[in-house]
Amino acid sequence: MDDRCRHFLEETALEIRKDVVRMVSLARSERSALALSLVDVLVYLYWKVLRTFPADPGNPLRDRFVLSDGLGGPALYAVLAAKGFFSRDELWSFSRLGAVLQGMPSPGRTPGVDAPGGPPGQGLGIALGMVMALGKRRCDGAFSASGMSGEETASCVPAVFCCMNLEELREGCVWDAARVAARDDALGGLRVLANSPGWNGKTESCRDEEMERFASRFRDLGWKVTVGDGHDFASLEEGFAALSAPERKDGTAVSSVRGAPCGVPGVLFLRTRYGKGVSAEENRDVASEGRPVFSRPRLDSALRELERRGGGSGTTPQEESAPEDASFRTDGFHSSGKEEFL
Amino acid sequence: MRYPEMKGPGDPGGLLDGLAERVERLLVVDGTFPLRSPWNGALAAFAETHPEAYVSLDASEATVVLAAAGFALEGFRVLLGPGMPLLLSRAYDQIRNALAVPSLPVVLLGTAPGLFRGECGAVFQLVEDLALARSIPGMTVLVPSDEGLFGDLLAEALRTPGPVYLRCDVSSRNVTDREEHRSSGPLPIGGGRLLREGTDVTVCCCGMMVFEALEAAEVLAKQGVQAEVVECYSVKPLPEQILLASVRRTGACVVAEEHSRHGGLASAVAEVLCEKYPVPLRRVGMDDVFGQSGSARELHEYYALTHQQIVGAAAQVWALRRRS
Repeated sequence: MDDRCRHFLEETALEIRKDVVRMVSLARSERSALALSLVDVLVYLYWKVLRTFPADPGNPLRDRFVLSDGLGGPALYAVLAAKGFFSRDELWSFSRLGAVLQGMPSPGRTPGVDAPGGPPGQGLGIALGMVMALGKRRCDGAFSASGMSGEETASCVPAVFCCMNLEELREGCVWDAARVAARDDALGGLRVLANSPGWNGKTESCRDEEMERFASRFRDLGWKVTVGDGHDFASLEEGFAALSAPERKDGTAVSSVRGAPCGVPGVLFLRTRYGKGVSAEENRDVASEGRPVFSRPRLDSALRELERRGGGSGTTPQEESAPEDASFRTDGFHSSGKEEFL
Repeated sequence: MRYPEMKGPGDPGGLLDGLAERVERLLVVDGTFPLRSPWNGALAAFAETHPEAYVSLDASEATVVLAAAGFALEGFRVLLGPGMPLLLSRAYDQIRNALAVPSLPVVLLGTAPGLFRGECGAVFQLVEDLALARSIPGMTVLVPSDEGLFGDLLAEALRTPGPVYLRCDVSSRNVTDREEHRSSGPLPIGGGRLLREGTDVTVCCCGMMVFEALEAAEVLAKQGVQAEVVECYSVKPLPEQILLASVRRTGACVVAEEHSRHGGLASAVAEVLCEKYPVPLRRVGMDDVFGQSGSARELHEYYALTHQQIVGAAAQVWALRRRS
């Protein structure tokens, strides 16, 4: 990955982080930690991997993305807004009455959201159904145009990405779906991103131990397993490249690259950090302090910290279309007083 | 006692015939049930004639429901669960969150409703399925009594935009003359069938209790009480106008269903009548108990789901009704 590309992704991720912190604060929610851990992964996914059609969110050729753990919703919403699926202004009404952006991802209500998220472990089963459905539709010729060779058609079949949290992998129905998905060498289009956030209060080795247990279960079922760093774009590039190179159960490679209709599904474990980028979140001991609602001063200091880290060069597409911070802060922000907000 | 041949535990035969031709983008999604399922024959025949419209996942109910959500999100009309008798109770969370909340077009078949899987005992006798399904927002609940009606409602349900629960304890014997019923037009979701006209008491019923209600009406007629039999095959939405029109004429109501008396058709009818036109009402259904092993016929006698109960209840409400 060249420096320009890395710089662009880092700048984009910084803007997304700021938006996440703002929208979660406005919603007076305490749910920013998981979303912040996902930002780099989603930025890489949406800018470098997924085939998307922001102006035509229902396009059948789009790659599908299932966010299984709905608590990561704010990160997904900020990314979708930056990609142009809907206006960035929608972020400021996140999880309010009548909002386009529901607390948990809602297909049909939010453009660009492909599947419902929320209850732990739900996403993999839905992604399994989607990838099987896409295989059926490929047989009906849904993705082939006249004059295409078989291989070209195969490369047009969309892939299905499912992002799960490490904690979700404790659910039984995840393993039932994982078993079915790896059964018959035909669902290579299914790719799972297992976000494995570590917390200051929870030791890294404890997280890694759990990750390795789950990874070996996936391997036993026949899945292709890769591990990477979810905050390092070079590592993400390697991880996604391995994930997208389909292979059969016996280890032989499959020729088509995207949405491989054959081969085994793959899982990419990503080491991340809760609240990444905002030190107040990163270093919080949840067990004793709980998860905080961002108060106005805390929001300001979080945004200042993000500015410092990124340098705020103002060269990214988001920056150009974004309203001034000052206007955002005076507009929909606390009219009812700081005390109540605290 | 005349006992109808039921398709529940028996042979569902041709229930899926012609379905793929009637419904576009149909997909039958199934798990495999370890016990011998009465649907095996029908499913095997369907899978053979329409391999492109059949998927067997060999997985738990929860996984099958989630996969069905995936299929529905990709534009398929999904018929779920002939081989999963406990679908509704085992996968309630997935049905609620992955199918009903996003309102996906999936039809859930109830293949072990009421007491039909008699020999298995309480675990496999879902006497509260209607209550479970009826309480999910946006879920349509249908309980046909005979094969013809089942076929019509299944096709209708597969065209509905949201989730539908369809009980299939249906009889091969027709409730009405099919020709006569066809001439009255197709039966819509939210409709009901007036099976017998009468002036003294309304007997509202669904599923296998339709046959008991018709039998009871014969007995009541001999005693000089003219019962009106209304089949409420659409438990939700309930055919309120048909029901209210009948009750306004008769002034008394009996509800008969093969279900717990709590939360099923009887509760639905009582809710409507209490609000809009209160009349004396009796419920014929299961007490607040689980079933036990036995043949379906024995169990129906034991738990008082027979025409004699309907006759008794009708006599009671008839005596209580307001005289104008």
